[in-house]
Amino acid sequence: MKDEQADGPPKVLILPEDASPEARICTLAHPRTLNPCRYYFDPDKGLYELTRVAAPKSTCRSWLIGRRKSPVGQKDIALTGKALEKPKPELAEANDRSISDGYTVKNAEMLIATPIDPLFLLLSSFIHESSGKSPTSKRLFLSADDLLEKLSDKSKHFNYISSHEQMRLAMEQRLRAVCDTVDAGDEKMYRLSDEKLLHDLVRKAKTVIAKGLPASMEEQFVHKALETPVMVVKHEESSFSDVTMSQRDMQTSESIVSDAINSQASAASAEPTATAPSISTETMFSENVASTTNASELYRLLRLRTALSYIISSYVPLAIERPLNRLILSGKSNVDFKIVDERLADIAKMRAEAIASRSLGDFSRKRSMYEDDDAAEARAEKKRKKEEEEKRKKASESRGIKDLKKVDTKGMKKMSDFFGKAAVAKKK
Amino acid sequence: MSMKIIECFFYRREKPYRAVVLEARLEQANLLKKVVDAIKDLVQDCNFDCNDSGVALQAMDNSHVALVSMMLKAESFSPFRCDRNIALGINLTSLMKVLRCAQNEDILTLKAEDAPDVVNLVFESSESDRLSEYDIKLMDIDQEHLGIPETEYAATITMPSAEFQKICRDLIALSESVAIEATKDGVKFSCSGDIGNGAVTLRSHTNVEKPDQNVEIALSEPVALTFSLKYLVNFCKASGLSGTVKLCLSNEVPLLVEYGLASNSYLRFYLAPKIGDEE
Repeated sequence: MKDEQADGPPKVLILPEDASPEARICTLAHPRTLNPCRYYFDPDKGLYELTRVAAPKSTCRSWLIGRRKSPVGQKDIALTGKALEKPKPELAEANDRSISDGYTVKNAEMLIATPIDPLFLLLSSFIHESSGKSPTSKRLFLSADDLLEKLSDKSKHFNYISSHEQMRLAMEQRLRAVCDTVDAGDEKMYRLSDEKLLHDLVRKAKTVIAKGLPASMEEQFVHKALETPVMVVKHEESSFSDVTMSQRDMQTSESIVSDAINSQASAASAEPTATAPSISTETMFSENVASTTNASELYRLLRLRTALSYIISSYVPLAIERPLNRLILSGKSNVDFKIVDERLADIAKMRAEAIASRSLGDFSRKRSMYEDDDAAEARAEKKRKKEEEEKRKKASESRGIKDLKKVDTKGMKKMSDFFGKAAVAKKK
Repeated sequence: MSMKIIECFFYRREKPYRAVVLEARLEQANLLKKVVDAIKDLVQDCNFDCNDSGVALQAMDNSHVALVSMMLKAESFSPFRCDRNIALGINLTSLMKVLRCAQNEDILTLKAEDAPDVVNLVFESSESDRLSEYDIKLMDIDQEHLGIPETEYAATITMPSAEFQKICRDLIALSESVAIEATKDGVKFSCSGDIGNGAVTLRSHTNVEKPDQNVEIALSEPVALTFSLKYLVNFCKASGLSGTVKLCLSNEVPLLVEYGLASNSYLRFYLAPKIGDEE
């Protein structure tokens, strides 16, 4: 094992406890991108995806890996790059031997294994059929063997996973959950059902929000999306316009207006933002307190949708995502997001009004607050170029031209007033 | 000498071949030098439009109250070849820099390829066997062309260009603008400013010995117009091109100041009169 040390620095992994001797790290196609990715597979426990957790580049951190005797709790396991490829029975022991007295790793990143539903891996096997012109009509029933074979073509280690009896059963069970099935002889045939898949995903999303969304997602996609612009000019009340305000004491001095639609789509999108003058909170509180239940339902739905779109956009292949989104929009899913949509449309309207009613004066301020460095740099660059151009132009101007600029041309008509636009022929 | 031209012609062919579509040989580099010198203080960049009849230029100053129109007829060159109409957008300051490298007696050859990026200038010294070659980068200039109709002017004054230059230079010391009054008695350039006023009157005059010194006034009706002296002084920079200058005036139309060149070539300036601001 020691020779593998040369292949690369050890990596820090956090793996589930009590790995079975059969546990492997394997390479499989990512369900969304189809790029090969590393997964941790334990025949007893199931499949885990490895998520990289790293400190931002600006903060320099390193790992100091040392020997630790107590196998309790999280285990630090160092693996070399090559070792990742190979099934490796004695992970912990190997580690003990390869790291004798300690080891520093430059990159302070770690890979955390978290359980992943094998269903997501299976989804890509449906891609081909569902990308046809008329998806629903073209879909064929396929046996589990056929589906798995498709996948093993794409991922070299898939066979290894599906050959384990327990895993195979789990996969088939997951397939049954999202597919229409028919029995052909003693074999079951599967066909992906969008409705069933969506139902299953909604169930997952519900599990996610039961424990609460991560704080950053909650802030970005739920609270910001539901923030109402506060205006000095009172806007007309919509069904639950002020509930959100009473829920959140956001009227400190200024509130931030962000684009609801954008924040739904992706976190990275730069949102048009603006500041608004504040008004007192008391009036807000006094108004519709009655509809608080309504508001909490709104929040729950938006969280659910955020979780759902996160799952879909992270794990569901693009080809399958589209029909799913259509399904969600059509309201045929088991959850009705209409209430959220209406509310978001309301807020978007209010924001548009708020922005329209704002003077152009505070544009500069908006920039300084919310624009990232890149955009600022690009603008500075542009300005510099313009100045340079101007300067160059000035330099190419003769003195006589500069002098003529000072001439008082009052009372002198333009040449074009005397001579018409011409016919190029005249000049020739 | 012609061997040399051919030599350098082929020397330049290392780049992908593009036909030379313009080749204009000017016996005296000085002519172009003076022309450019005269207009470079009026316009910054302009297009030299080349076609089989010669090289033409039309441009307005920044405030569009004056216009310069130059025509160098094909006959002014020897030889002149232009296979295709091309516009050479040149910064005049840059062109002047290059032309200053030419000695007055040098033979100048202008060359350009089809769809050119540069215009090539070759100076040959007739005395020494010196050959200098320059390329000037061209620019895209979006210029509007104005159609200038042939006009019958009410008054046409022909006079020595040096005389006109002196009058303008003298009067600008007093005022910004000059009133030009053409009557059957003569032409009066008058101005008034803070320190006082002044006027110069010229009458028709024929000098048999020196026809250059003639002053001719052709008049169909009296004209009185006011013009900016700064612009006129600027036009006078072309005085070196021709011994005589022709001023053409009519009420309500721009003044034409024409410097005639050999073989019907010309350099013309137009200037809008000052209206409603009598000084």
